[in-house]
Formats: sequence, structure tokens, C-alpha cells
Amino acid sequence: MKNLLARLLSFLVIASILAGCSKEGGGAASPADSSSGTAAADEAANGPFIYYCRTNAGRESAPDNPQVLAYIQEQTGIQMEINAIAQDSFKEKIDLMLASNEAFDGMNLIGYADSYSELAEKKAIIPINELIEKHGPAVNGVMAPGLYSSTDKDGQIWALPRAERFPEGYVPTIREDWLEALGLSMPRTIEELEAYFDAVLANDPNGNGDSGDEIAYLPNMLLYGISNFIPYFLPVKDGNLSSTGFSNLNNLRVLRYMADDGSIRSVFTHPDFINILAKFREWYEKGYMPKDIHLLKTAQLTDIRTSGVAGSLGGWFSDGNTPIINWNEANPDKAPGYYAPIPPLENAPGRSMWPSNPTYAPQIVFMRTGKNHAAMMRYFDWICQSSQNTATVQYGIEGVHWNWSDEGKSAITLSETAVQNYLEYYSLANLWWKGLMPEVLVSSDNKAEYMRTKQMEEIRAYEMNYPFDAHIPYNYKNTDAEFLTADGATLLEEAIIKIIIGESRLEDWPAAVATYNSIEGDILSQVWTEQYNDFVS
Amino acid sequence: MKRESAGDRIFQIINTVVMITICCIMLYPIIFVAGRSLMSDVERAARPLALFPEKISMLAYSFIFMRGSYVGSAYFVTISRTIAGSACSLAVTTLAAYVLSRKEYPLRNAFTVMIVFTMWFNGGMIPNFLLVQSLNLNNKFLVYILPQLVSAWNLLIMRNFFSSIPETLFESAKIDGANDLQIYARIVMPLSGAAIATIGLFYAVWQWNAWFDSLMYVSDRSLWTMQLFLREIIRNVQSIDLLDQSSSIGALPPAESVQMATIVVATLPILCLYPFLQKFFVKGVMVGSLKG
Repeated sequence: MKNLLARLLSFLVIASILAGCSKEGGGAASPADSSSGTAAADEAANGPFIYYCRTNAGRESAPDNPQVLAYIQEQTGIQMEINAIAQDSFKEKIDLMLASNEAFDGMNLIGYADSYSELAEKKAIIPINELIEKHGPAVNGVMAPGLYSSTDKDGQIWALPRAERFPEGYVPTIREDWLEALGLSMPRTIEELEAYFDAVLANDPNGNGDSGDEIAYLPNMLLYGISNFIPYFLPVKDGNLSSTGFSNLNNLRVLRYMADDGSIRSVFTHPDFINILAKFREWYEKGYMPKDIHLLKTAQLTDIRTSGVAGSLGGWFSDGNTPIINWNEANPDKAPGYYAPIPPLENAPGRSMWPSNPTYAPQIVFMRTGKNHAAMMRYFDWICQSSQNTATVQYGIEGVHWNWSDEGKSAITLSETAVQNYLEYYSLANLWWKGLMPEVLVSSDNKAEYMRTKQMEEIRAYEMNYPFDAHIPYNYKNTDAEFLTADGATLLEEAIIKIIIGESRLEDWPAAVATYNSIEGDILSQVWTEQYNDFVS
Repeated sequence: MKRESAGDRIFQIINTVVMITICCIMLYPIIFVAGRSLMSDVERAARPLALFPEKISMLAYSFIFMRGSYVGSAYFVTISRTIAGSACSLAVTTLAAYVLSRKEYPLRNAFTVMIVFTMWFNGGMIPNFLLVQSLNLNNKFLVYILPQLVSAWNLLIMRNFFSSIPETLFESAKIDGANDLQIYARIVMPLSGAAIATIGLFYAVWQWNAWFDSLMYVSDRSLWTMQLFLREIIRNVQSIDLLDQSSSIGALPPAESVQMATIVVATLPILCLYPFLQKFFVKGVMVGSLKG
């Protein structure tokens, strides 16, 4: 009896496992039987469109989000469900949903590691030409200048692009009040910049009686600081250089240049990259940077900036604003600190420019499993129809969060607590399209935004290096680069840091580059070059 | 009364000094975290090793609690799942453990092997996600309770504890006419207070700290747990400088203060509860162990 029961139970367990394995998808639509690729199915679908993005500085939890959502839904007649995933788990969650055929309509590519071309290759997203044609006339009109950035070589549009408000931000800054105190003018050459660094170390510009606590140059992480100087040091024909900020070499693949022979290569393999290392090694030896700069974490860097001892910052132009504002408030008896953007340095061996992000980049993709694509596209179309609508999704409800400041409806003023209560959450994308976003008149009481606006006005006068190949949809799937690990990048990162802090010789750099090339550099270069030429031709 | 010798006194002094030192080592991180959560960023930057603020700043706490109404709902969800989840888990665990501890039950070994098997192997994340999806538990409170209802480890501990109860008690109850449910309720449960408190505390602490199921299965933020919400706050603050810098407006609180305040907010309730449960923990140290 006992054995019989045990066998019966075993049989039931095995039968359950087999039944479970053979059961299809738990009710979720498979890509094959999803009709979501057609606008007709979208039109018939009911319910909200479902959209996923990663969290962004607490915007997703702003107290007025429900109020603004209700207002937008009333204005548009379109229902939506917006889900923000913690950014460090965003890719994991999205991949899980893709693997399980979870139905959702769209997502924001920012924070997701794969490009649209890789998602298209996986058949996770759909081309949106037809959707734009049927439901997005205003989208087509407004976004036309940037659509190229998400269009493949066959003319299929795979994503709505974003227009960045201010891509030109990788500009080092300098304490303007210290310049005045030291009797110096804004540096125009690297020699003048070094003269400022020397003066900072030799004097006591923060006036606390300790001439030894000042730091001449404090990059926001060592590698991030290096990124500012890539265009300056690298002579690249026709400016075919991609250089943005990077905090580690995991995103090394976005830093490329076109060599004289037409091949696309990593900027770290450029023969003149060693000159950047030599300069940073010299700066480190002279004590311009803290001895533990390669070990400092974000919070520690913020603390150093807040203590008002840094004479110049590297990285993104506004990184030092909040700390210096706090320092100013704690030291009302001293001249207020201000980090002014340094103009591009003249007499550059490369280009007298700072690096920049691309102006347009693919941002919003429409998922194959979605059931309400038309509603989602109509929502973006509504946003693009007027500055009023754009201001609504960006800043909230007119009369509550903001007001028009002029008859021509080209500028708005924000109410005092507007930004704390609502900001951008339902804009879903960066919408800084020309003529669409009204200008925001910033009060000097809003110190951070006022400072940022002042810096941006100064930077706008500078010439910047824009990435030359940001619109190429490089795709590593089914190429020799598909299964590359980041071993080569790790090796380069280690070599860069060791050379700068003096643990390795400068002469060791070519060997590190050669090893990198043998591990992955040559393979990546081949893939980039082939795909670039294929796309351009 | 025997007089203390000099050696005894020296021992007492050294013992006291050592214990006070250990207490200080234990208390230091707690005071450090609490103190620095109340510092302004300028003070924190100027006094990197200070424990107590010169001037109390509540900026970090206001940053956490001013994030709309989600903190309130997150606390409610966490407390609810801790109470309901622990209660349900305890009920099912003790019932199953009772059945598996009875020697007259013919399939006890077969079921035990199957349960132990799940400790060594499991389906993984995608099958779990599919299971939850097919049970229609996504975005439902039940997703916090059902998928993790029974811990195989806790079940085995409880089973071992029940097995150690003298068989004569069961036999006399049966002679008195009690059925299994009555034996479970009137004999086994009253004798297992320490074991139930210990296992209950295991479940409660697990439920209190859980965030991953909330992240994976729940997109409705009003159903998020406190731990996920606080985790998100920390992640946001840490990465603010690198994110979308061009459009972030307004001054932001310091990352370290927010981290410290988050630790205080997340641990304070369970810290307050712990002293009251500690005696059960001490009693429960031997739970499930074999007696010679």
C-alpha cells in the first residue's frame, strides 16, 4: 500500500511537471500571434497604454503626479499607465518581461543597455513608420530633424528620438571668484590653466588661513575628467571623433574615432592618447589633483566640493553647483563661489573644443507585445501639437504649476513649489525640440537653476565636438563582437590609472593598447567599420 | 559571604572594560548613522569624523518623507505583509511540519525529500515570473504572501522540533479521543511557543526586509514595500549627478545624509521590536536540534 501510494504520488508529480512545461505562455501573447504591429488592432484596443521607464531623480514620486495625470488624461482622452523601475534593475526587469512575453506598449531606452537595433534584432520592438503616418502628423513635423537618429538603412524608423536640452555639457569649470582673487584672467590656453593651478596651490584663495587645503583640479572621477580633454589632445581628420563623458570603461564602446585609413577605432588606441596620459600624470605629480582621486566615490567628491576647496572641476559643467550653493549659504561673509565654464583651450594639438553628447538619440520604442500603440503615438502627437501641451507634460498644470509670462506664449514662469511637486514625469521623453518647449524664466531665488542657466549661456558661445557616428545603429549580435567580455576595457582602465598615479611607466601604454587590441579592439574596430560603411553607403 | 580576592576584582575590572569596549564598538555605527543623518551637508563635509551634529538638519528626512504619499502607503504595505505573511507562513509551516513529524504518516519521507529538493534546486527567475503571471498575482498584495508562503528550511526545523515532543503525549491525547487537529491545536502548539516565536521572527524579518518581489512583480507604486521605496531613494540620490543633468532643476540633498536617514527609517521599527522578542530567540536557540 505504501509503495503504491509513493508510485502514485511520483506519477502525479511527473505528470504535473510535464503539463506545466507544455502549457503555453500563461495567457500572455506570443510575438507570433500578436497583432499589435498593426494600427487597426491598436484602434480596437481599449484600456491604457502601458509604458516603462527607469526612475529619474525622484520625479516618479512627486506628490502632484496623480493630479497632473488626471488633468492630462482629461485633456487628451488617452489613458496611460506609466511604470518607473529603479534604474539599476531596469534592464533586468525589462529583459524578464520580454522573456515572458509580458504585454506592454512602450519603453524608454535610457537606462537600458541594448540599442534599438539589438531590440529590433530580437523582434522585441516594431517599426513605427506606419504609426507616425496614421497617428503622428505633429510628431512627424516636430521630430523630423532627429528621426534620422533612429532610422535604419532600409528606412524603417524604430524609435522616437529625444532632443536633449543641452548636450554640450562636458565642460570643465573654474572658480571665477578665485581667478579674481588671484589676479588672473580666464585661461585660454593649457599653459594659462596650469598657471592658475600653480597659483591655487601657492596661495590661499579660499581665505581660511590654510594654504594647503586647496585642490587645483578635481575631476568628477578620474576617467570622467580625462574625457573632457579627448578632443583637445587627439588630432582626428575632419573631426570624426565621438567623445562623451565616461566614469568607467564599460561604456568604452561609445568612444570612437575614424582613423586615416577609414577604420573606426576606440579613442584609447589613438596614437596621441598617450599625450593625455602624460599631461594627467604630470598634473598628478605636481599635486593638482588629490592623491586618492582614483579611489574617490561620488559622495566623497560631493563632500570635497561642498567644503569649498576645489579650484576647478572636471566632468559635467553643473556638477559643482549644488555643493557651491550650499557652501555659499554657509559662508555668507565670503565672496560667493561660482564655477564658470572654461572656454575651449586654444592652440590645441587636436581640436579647440570640449566634447558633447549627440543632439538627437533614439529614446522611445514601441514593443511588439503592446496592444495600444495607436494611443501611445496619439499621446506623443498631442504633446507635439503645441507649446501649451509640452509645458503641461513638462511642468504641470497651467495656473497651478506655471503661467505664461508673455502674450506670445513663448515663455513661462514656474510657481514657487512647482518643481518639487511635479517635473517631467509624463513627458516620457526629452522634448527640447526647437520651437516646442517654452522658455522658462528663472528667478534668481532659484539659485541652482539660475546658476545653471548662466553657465549654459556661456557654453552656448563655445564650439563643441559632436559625436560623428551617434546615429549609426551598431549591433553586435551575430558578429564576432557578440560575446566579447569587457576584459580589454578593464585592462585599459587599470593601465590608465596606474600610469597617471605613477605606478606604471608611460612607456607601458603601447603594450596595454596592443593587448587590448588583441583581446577585443581589433574585433570591435572591424565590426564598427563594416557597419559604419554599410550604413553610410 | 565570601570576600572577593584581588584577582577577582582585577577580573571584574578587566571584564567590565572589555564589555564596555564591545558595547562602544557595537554602538558606534548606530550613533554614527543616526548623527550623520541629522547633519547638514556643509557640516558633514567640514567634519568628516564627527558623530553628533552641531546644528540639527532634517533635510534628509524631509527628502524621504516629502516624496508624495508613497512613504505612508509603503509603510502600511510592509507592516501588512510582515503581519499577514508571517501569520500565514507560520500557520502553513506548523500544519505541514506536524503532518510530516507524525511517524504513522506513510508519505512523510517522500514529501520531506521533495521539500528538501527545493532547497537545492529551483526553477529560477523566469519560471517564477511566469508562474506569478499565470496565477494573475502581478500587482496584487497576495504576491507578497503566496509565492514565499513556506520556507523549506523553516519547515524542516519545525518538523524536527515537533518530532522531539514525547510520543506518550500524543498517545494519551488519542486515548482521550482527540483527533489530529485537536492534538495539533491543544498539545503541539502550546508546547512549541519558543519554536513558533523563533520561526515567526525569521519569517517576520524576511518579510520586513524583502524588496525584490516588489520590484519584479509590482509596478503599482502604491503597493510597493518600504524597503524598495527606500532603496529607490538611495539609488536616485547616488546617481543624480550622472543622470539627465541638463534638465534636473533645484538643489538636491546630500547622498550620504539620505543614505543614513534611510537606514534609520528602515531599521528603527524592527529595532524597537527586537528587545521584546529577544527572549524567544534565546529560548529558540536549540529549536530543531537533536537531543541525545
